[in-house]
Formats: sequence, C-alpha cells, structure tokens
Amino acid sequence: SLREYLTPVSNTSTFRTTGEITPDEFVKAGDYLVEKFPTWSWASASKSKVRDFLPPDKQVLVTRHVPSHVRASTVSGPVTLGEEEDGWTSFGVANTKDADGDDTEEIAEIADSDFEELDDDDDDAAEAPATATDHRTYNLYIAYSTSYRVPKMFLSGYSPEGSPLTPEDMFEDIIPEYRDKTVTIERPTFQDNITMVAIHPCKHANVMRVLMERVEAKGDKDITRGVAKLGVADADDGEGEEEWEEVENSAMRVDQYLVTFLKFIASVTPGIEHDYTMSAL
Amino acid sequence: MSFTPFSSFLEASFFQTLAAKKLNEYKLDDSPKRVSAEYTWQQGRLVFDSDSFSDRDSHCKGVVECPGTLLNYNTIEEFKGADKKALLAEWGDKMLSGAIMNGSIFRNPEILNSFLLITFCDLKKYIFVYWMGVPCLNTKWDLQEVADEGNYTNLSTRIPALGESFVVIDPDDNVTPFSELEYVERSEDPTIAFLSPTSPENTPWTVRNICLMLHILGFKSATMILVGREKNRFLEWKRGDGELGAWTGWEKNSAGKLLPKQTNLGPLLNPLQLASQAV
Repeated sequence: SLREYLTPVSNTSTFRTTGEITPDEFVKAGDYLVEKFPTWSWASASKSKVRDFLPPDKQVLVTRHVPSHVRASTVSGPVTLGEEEDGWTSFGVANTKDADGDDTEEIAEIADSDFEELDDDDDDAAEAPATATDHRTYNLYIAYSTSYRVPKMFLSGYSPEGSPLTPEDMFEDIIPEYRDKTVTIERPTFQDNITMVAIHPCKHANVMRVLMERVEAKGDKDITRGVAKLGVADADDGEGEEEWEEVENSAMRVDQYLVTFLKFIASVTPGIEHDYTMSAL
Repeated sequence: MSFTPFSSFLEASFFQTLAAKKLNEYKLDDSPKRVSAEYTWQQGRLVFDSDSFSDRDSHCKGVVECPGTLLNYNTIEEFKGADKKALLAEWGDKMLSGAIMNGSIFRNPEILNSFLLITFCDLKKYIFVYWMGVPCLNTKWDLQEVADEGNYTNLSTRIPALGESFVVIDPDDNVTPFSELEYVERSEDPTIAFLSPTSPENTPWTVRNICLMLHILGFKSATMILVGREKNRFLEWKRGDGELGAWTGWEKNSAGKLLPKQTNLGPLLNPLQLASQAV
C-alpha cells in the first residue's frame, strides 16, 4: 500500500511501552520463533518485493499446512481486550455478496455431473482417502508492517481437496468480531500477483502492549483471558506451562514478542490449529 | 495390504504461474511439460507451487522432489474427452517402466513417485479444472510385513543427513546411495530404505512401484524399509508369476469419486474481480 511505501522505517526500540517493534527486533523475534518452533521458517520475497530493511533471506515468516477442522464461528465467543475502551474502526471489509445475498458476479463452475466418472477399476488395494469435508489447511505468514511498526498476519487457505479457498471461505476461519472489522483482502508485501486475507495491524501495537503487561505481571498465566474465549491452557500439556513460567520471572524480552503475538492471533483464528505448532517443543 | 495414495495440494502460486505460462508461453501448445511436486516425509501430500515449473534450488532435509508430466488442454471439451485410462497407461509406461529399463531410475529414484497432472484453465473466469494421477500397476504383489528386529538404528537421521530419500543398505549394513542398486546381482536380496511419505499406520503408494521396479529388474526377493521419523516398517517382497495387472492411480476426490477437481481463483487472481472487491 502507498502508506507502507511512504512511511520511513524507525529503528528506535520502544516495544515495552508502545507494543511496536523495529525491523531488527522483528528479525530477532523471528529467529527465536524459528528456533523454538521449527514448523515456522524464514522465507525470502518475490524479486520485485524485496525490502531492504530486512535481510534478503528473512523477508517473511511462514508455516505451512496448518490444519483447521472447525470454523471460527463454532468455537469462539465474545471478544474484548479488557481495558480497551475505544471502539474498533470499521474498515468496511469487502463483500462479494450484494444485498440479496447473491454473488455479485456469476461464478459459473462446472458441475461434477458434467464430467464422466471413471469406473472404480477394482483396485481394492487402494486405501480410500480419509478427508473430512470440513478439513481445511492454512499457510500462515507473518510480515512486517512499516506503517504500524508491528507484525502483520497473512493467511492462504486450502480446501479439503487441497486447492485454494476464496477469501469469503477464509473469513469463516476468523472470529466474527474481527472478520467484520479488521480483515482485508490484499496483495501481500512479499509475493507477486496473488492476494491473501490479511488481519489489519492498526490495533496490534495496543494489543501487544496489553499482552506484554500481563505476561510481566506476576501470577497471571492466562494472558489471553479477555482477548478470546480460548485460553493458553488449551495448547499445552505441561511444556507450555514451563515456557510461561520462564517468561513471568523477568521482563519480557523482544525475542519473545512473536510467540506472544501468535497467541493473540490464535485467539482470532481459533479453528486454525496454530497451537499444534507451539506444542512441538 | 492396502496402499495410501498421495493427496494433491495445489497452491495458489501454482495456478498463478500456470495461468501466466498459458497466456505468455504455452498459448495453444498442449504438448506434455515436465513439472515437479514435493512431499514432506510422513505427510503424504504432493505439493505443487510456482517452483513446480522450474528447477527447485533449495533442498530441505525431509522434503522429496518428485518429477511428473503436465498436460494442459486448450478446451474443456478436450479435457473431458481425453481417455483417462489410456493416459495413465501411456504415462505410467513412459515415466516408470521406461526409466526402469533405461537405468535412469538408479540416479533418480523419486521417479517411483512420478505423477501425471492434467489441467484446463479458463482464463476469463480463472476457473481451473485439474486431476492428478500417480500411475502404478494394480498387481497383487507378494508382500509380507516382518517385525523390526532393531538392526537398523538411526536411519531416520542417517538418510536425511545424506540428503537422500532412497538408499540401499548393503550386506554389511552400510547406507549406500540408491544408484548402487544397479550393480547388485539379481540373485541377491537387496534392502531398499526410503523416507516414507506416510505415517507408519499407512503403507505408501510408492511401495507398489518399488515392487514393479524389482520385478522388471529381475530380482527374486528384496526387503523394503519404510523409514519413519520415530518408527520403521519392514516389508519383504518375493517375485511372483501372476499377471501384472492394469495401470491405475487417478486421485479420488474427497467424496471418494473418480472425478476431476476444480478451483475458482477469480477472487484471488482476476484483476477485475480484485478491483470490485476493493473498498
């Protein structure tokens, strides 16, 4: 976006007071994430999208093939940020349906019945695929937003058939409170000629500031309480507990920033099994 | 014994690149194209992305690149009208049997997972119709599972450390490159170990083509080790004299039917649709 392009990069560290991070801090936090959670890795960008304030081989963080078995609306409840008082700005997220609920453009797909089904050629040695019809998969990306000086999440989802989901389908995997207000369809900052669903970062700094305060406050393990219905407890089987203890006893370090950020994102996309990656310690 | 087929997984970037190639490069050329897909050890998905069309330059441990053929039809009528069974037989023969008989299998054992991908692109609506097949013969091979006697420790680290996905274990228990199979006497009983595309509860499709390879090469018996991250499985193959059977391997959709798949990438790729979505 033009705003991203025009905003100069700042290198002053302010993360504890503002919740914002510099590009260097993003890299540090990304290195920590990739080391502790090997399902995440660094990736480079399409040639035309390389940004010079990040190392060429560390333009974006990615994790692939994260399962999602249930849609967000069946999992989540109301969301508040606790102390947060001002209302969310509405972004008028694009709808592909008009007032009647019909698609504004006829998407004429070819009916299955148009194709000739092949005979099941008595190959009884082939095991039938065991794919549940609601089993989706996501590739998740964490990029750096220069205008807001925070991470920015991009999602690329796949159907049970293993083919790309439409943005409308992907909205079903974001909790309603966020879906209507801060979810957009955009060209990612790191890849050419494709669009993805993104979570607008305008409130992330504030969220991170609140979450970090909770992490640092002694005796408060469930930092995402009030951020979403899902608590930290869902993810861990003991190992998660140890990790939070370690963080509680000292001020939060910037390298832990993205781990905390992902806990927040997990609460916004509760049906996407991020925590499956986090328990791989 | 039943075998688990690969599941296709076609990323948006694959379709984006296919659309661009069709528009700028292939145009009306519907001749076969060499492409590739990858699977990750123990995750039996064959993943297609923009790198499918070029040489993949990074080789991550545990990620196996498989070669295949793309047939992109110019019209939906041609896609529908193509003889699917004949295509599998033709390409199974060319990609698999051909490679086994001309020896290229020894340098590139991933050929054992060769696939065929037929496609049709509607570049006005950005609807893509596609179907993947991994050809194999539906022969009833003589395969027995045997217990793990604990003789082969650390294969799950040694094989990826070599940057290989298929190896031959010699009689002295050395892990050697798969190419060594070319020199093994056909009267001997080789041990082939490979990074299994499936988790240990399932038997991968690859096993069927290993059996075919052993049969064509003239071996009488062999041992296969399906290497998992935690656990290995051991299969013993013996040469039989039954019929070889017919080519099979078109992917079934998630409803279990032998039908092609389709995806509508209009909202993700079509510039006019993008403009109408923007607020």
